[in-house]
Amino acid sequence: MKKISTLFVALFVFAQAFSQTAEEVIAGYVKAIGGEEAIRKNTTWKMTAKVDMGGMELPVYFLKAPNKMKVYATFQGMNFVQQAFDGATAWKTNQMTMKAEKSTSEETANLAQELMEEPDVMITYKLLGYTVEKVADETIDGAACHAIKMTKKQKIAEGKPVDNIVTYFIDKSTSALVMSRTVSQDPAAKGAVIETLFSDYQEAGGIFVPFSMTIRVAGGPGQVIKFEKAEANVAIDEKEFAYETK
Amino acid sequence: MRFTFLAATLLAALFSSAQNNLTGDDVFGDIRARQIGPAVMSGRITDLEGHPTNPRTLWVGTAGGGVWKSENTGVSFLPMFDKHNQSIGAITLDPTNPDKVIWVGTGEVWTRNSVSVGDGIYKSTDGGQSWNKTGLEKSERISAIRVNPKNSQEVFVGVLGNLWGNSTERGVYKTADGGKTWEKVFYLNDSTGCSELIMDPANPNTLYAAFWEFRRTAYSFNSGGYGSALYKSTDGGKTWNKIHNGFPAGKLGRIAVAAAPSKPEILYAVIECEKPEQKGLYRSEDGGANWKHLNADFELSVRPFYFSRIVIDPKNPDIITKAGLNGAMSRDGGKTFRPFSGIHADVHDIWFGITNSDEVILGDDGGVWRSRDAGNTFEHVKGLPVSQYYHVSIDNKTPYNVYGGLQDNGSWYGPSSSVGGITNGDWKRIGEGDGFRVLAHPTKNITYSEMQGAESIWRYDIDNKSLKNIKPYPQSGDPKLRFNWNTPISLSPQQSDRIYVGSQFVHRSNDRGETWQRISPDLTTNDPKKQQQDKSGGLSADNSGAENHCTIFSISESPIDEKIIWVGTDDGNIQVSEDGGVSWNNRTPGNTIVPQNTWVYHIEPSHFNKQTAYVALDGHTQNDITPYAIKTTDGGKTWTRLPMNGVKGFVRHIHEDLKSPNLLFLGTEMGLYVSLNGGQDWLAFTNNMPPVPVHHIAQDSKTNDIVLATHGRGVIILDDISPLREITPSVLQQEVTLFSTPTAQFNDEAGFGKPGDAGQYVGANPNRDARVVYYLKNRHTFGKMLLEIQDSSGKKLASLAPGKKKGINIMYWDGRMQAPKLAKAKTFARGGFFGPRVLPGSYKVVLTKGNQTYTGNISYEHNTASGFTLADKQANYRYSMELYNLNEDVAYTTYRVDQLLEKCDSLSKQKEFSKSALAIKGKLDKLKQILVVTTGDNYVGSAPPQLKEKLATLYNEVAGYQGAPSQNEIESINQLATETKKAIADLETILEKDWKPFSKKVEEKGSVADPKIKTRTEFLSERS
Repeated sequence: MKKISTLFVALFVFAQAFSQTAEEVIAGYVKAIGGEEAIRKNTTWKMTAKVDMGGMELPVYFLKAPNKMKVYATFQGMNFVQQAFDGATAWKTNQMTMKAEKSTSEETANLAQELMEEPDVMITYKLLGYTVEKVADETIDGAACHAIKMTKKQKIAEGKPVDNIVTYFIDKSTSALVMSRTVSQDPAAKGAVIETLFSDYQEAGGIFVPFSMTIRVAGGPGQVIKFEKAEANVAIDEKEFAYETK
Repeated sequence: MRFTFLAATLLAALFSSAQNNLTGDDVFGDIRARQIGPAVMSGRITDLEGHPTNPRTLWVGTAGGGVWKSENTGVSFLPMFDKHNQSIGAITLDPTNPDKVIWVGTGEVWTRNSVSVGDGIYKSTDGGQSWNKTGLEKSERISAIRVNPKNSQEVFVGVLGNLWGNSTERGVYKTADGGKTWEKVFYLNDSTGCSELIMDPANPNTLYAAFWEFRRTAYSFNSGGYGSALYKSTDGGKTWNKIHNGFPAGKLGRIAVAAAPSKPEILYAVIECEKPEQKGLYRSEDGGANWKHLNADFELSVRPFYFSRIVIDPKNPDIITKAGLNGAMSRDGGKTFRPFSGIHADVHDIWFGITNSDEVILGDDGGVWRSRDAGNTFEHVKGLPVSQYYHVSIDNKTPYNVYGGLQDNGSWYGPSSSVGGITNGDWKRIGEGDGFRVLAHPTKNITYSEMQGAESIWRYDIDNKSLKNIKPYPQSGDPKLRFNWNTPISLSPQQSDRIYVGSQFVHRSNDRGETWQRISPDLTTNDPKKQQQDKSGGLSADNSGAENHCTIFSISESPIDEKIIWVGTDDGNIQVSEDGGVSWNNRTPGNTIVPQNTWVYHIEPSHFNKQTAYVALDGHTQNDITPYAIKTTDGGKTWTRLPMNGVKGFVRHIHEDLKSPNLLFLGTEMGLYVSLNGGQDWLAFTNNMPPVPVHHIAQDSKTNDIVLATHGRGVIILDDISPLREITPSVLQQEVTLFSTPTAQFNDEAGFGKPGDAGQYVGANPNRDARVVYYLKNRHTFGKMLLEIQDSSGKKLASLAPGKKKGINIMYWDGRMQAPKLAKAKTFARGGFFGPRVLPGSYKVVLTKGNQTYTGNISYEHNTASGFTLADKQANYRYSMELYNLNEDVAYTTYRVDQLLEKCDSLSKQKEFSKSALAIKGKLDKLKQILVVTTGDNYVGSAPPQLKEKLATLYNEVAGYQGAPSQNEIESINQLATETKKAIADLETILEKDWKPFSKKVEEKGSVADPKIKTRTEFLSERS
């Protein structure tokens, strides 16, 4: 409890600053969720969530280790991987055969690049050569927010480099990340605005973690992911991530 | 009633202090606009702009629906300008950075009577994701934007300027710093603006500017004068010279001009002039020094104010197209033209594919069209919902239908909800020409619609498909009737067969238009100076009826007293009869309230007090864009002007909520505004709602939906606004306020949806499920927040994702419990995806926010209109639950078998237990094969279904239906129940006869045989 209180104090004190630069706003966020040191301490994550699929709550699990990730759901007692990366190969489960299939080369390259941002792009962006700028403030869900536009290393789509820009909306009063916004470069949904809302921040692994995420595509109603458990620094068998051919 | 009104007034006063600094972001939350299109007829396109190097990219500017972008050569589009002015004059991509730098000039330049107004120039540096207004705020209309291909900071802009009055903002503007500052480099006078601006693609210092002298009033239009001319600059806009050698003498009108991209010294111009034989196309082969008249064909000279655009094939200077009634293409350098065909009328712009000139895109009053054979045949883009409604009404059906008429696109009705979404195919046409007021008879399946200037007023019997023109004609001794372009038709709220039509008189029929009675004198100012439409048009006569004036525009019978009839006229009169039309009183407010002759757009008699009325007035045709709305509480004897702080755009409509007199809705040229305090303060409504012109507002009394006729984005609905009635000053002070919600009816509709593709527009359906509604004072960001529905014993039935927004949050519950837990198998069963639906009744809402808990109720009642009886529902629930439990029995039994099998596997590796373990495994495997599928895949390699799969499929059929299961299904349930029981018994037998002795033997040897098996409750609590 003491830890949480300390974090809350830090959070509110920091939020008092005025006329912040993009870097200062980001620093405020990093400090508010627990500080760079605490963020870096967490090298692995295991998270359990529920996703509402038209009335059915699907359990979804997130595994994270350095340069590796896996997201899988359980349905009728069977696991199917929505996305995984073992450091070299990105893959997912084909729902017809229930066997692993490789993601496209471009998806793999883009995912590998995204994983370079870990543990949190807000502390790695400079190292990665990303640039940030403060753009016009916006009110998100009724919360007045700073808007930080981050220009990242370009991704690849249809063989060509494409923009990789994400705008982060950070609550002016609490320094919490409220939303991110990007534009899909996926050829099938090119141009669609993707917004991810964050809330229900709770303490896990010594930092504040959003236990609720809502992903909204092209202004639609949004898919809610409710996290029930988040554990940091748990041992995860390397096999979990490995591309499987069953 | 009196008490209610007094209480409302007091509340409004209280609110006024509480509402200081309140914004829409503080209140509206999940009250969100639902855009339903339609796109079947689309709407007016003003400007097309492709990408200089990427043939997939196309930008589209519209008359009232903003800017759209396609990344797939026009198959599908996304809106790109929804926070800004929706009337588009010009779109330009910076040639050196066309993916990122986009310029949009607002204010359409095809200056028809119903044209909207712009508010400046915008620039995006991120491909249209965000926009900055960079100036020219008073330009009203921007005709062209030209970016120097060698210097992105240098941009020239043609400003046409005000349509309805003088303006010194017209001319050619230049920025040398990317839009930070602007210099007016060429100006003629306050009535002549720049209607086209061309930059020589090879030499950016060479510019051509067409200037046009023009003016509209509410009752006239003039195109042409001595100011109209074509100019050229060769020094980057510093000096300009007329280039008229070969042009006709005398007054000129609107001029179209274009330079051939492949040979820029070849220019084409289309001239409006005094002599008909000199009108039409001119060509220059020396950069405008000399011109030769080539052609005066109809398509080249028709309505220059609407069609002055020339587009040339980028590869061939002799292939040119001209906008027009149909538009036309020449393949011989302008000598001859062939009109386009198979498209909607009124072409405004054309675009050639950059890699293939056979690809032609065309924009007209009916949207965007694609040709792949150089304009011979076209297909229509069905995904651009930019229809321009003038009016909207609804009927009494469930779900209600939406009716309305559109600019150049007839009259239509369509459903507010449809299985699979509201598609283009759901809309039915009930009028042609320009459509305006469309109304449904309150009890019969009959519609009333019209075309421009009451050329026809139709009564259409939908059931019998009989169509009759019921337009009133002058009676003996009457003067010629003057009907507005947008002629008012209205229904009586109290007499179902009564309709009203307005000319300069009020005409009333009590028998659906069979007989008419003129019940008023001329209620307009009848100013003869404003009745000379035969002289309208200027150099090109244009007496379409669009400028008809001194006419009645609004007729409203009081919903409280049928004898009270309010009338508003386009020349500023407010008249009222309190005796059913026997006598009339002119209750026009004085100049101190509203300027004289301000167009009375809509009168809204109050639903609560018959002496109260609200009036929306529009001054823009007098060059006055001030928002005006006024209110009377004494039958029009005195008026008060409602404060309009923060309201943008002139006002076209005001609507009083049907249940709360303090809740008002205001439709302006720049969107929708809501007042919670009787019009003292206004909140801009921007949730999925662009600042599009709102011409009319209707409301459904059953659903509390607000339905908007937008002039550019079709029909937009705000579903069930009743939570807005609950917002009080004290609610605004509470951290969390859980509202009570009305009892909902189960949605008993089912169907198969409709086929579609990426290019088809599909409007979303409303959600009419039972709701949880609460107000949050602040966004919920920190700590846990949960929302559960429980039965009376506190058992969780469903968990919903709670809303976190500041303001109103709305969550829907479809009345279904959690889905059953199904057995683990080799493949998926095709069922068990949803829970059974609860029985009608009241259920508990438990909202947990941090350490605070808030409770309320949510309830469903039986939907008697669905055709199912309550007994059907009870049977559905009973059998669904039986199958639900059977599914879970099989799941638990399979789990137990799996646990035992796992143990058998490990013990079989120990030599001393191997034989027994394998023997039991054999029996368990056999049992498992009865319980679930153990081979195959989820597609064509699937194995025959076993107990789990059969139960899941049957469960889906029974629980997915809304009524009782069939006898055959019940028999099947019984059969599967027997089989399930037997499988469980078989397991028990194996456990008793085989496992127990085996386990004992294992234990005697010092090992453990019994696996750890969760209890049924433990197993089922893990939902996976």
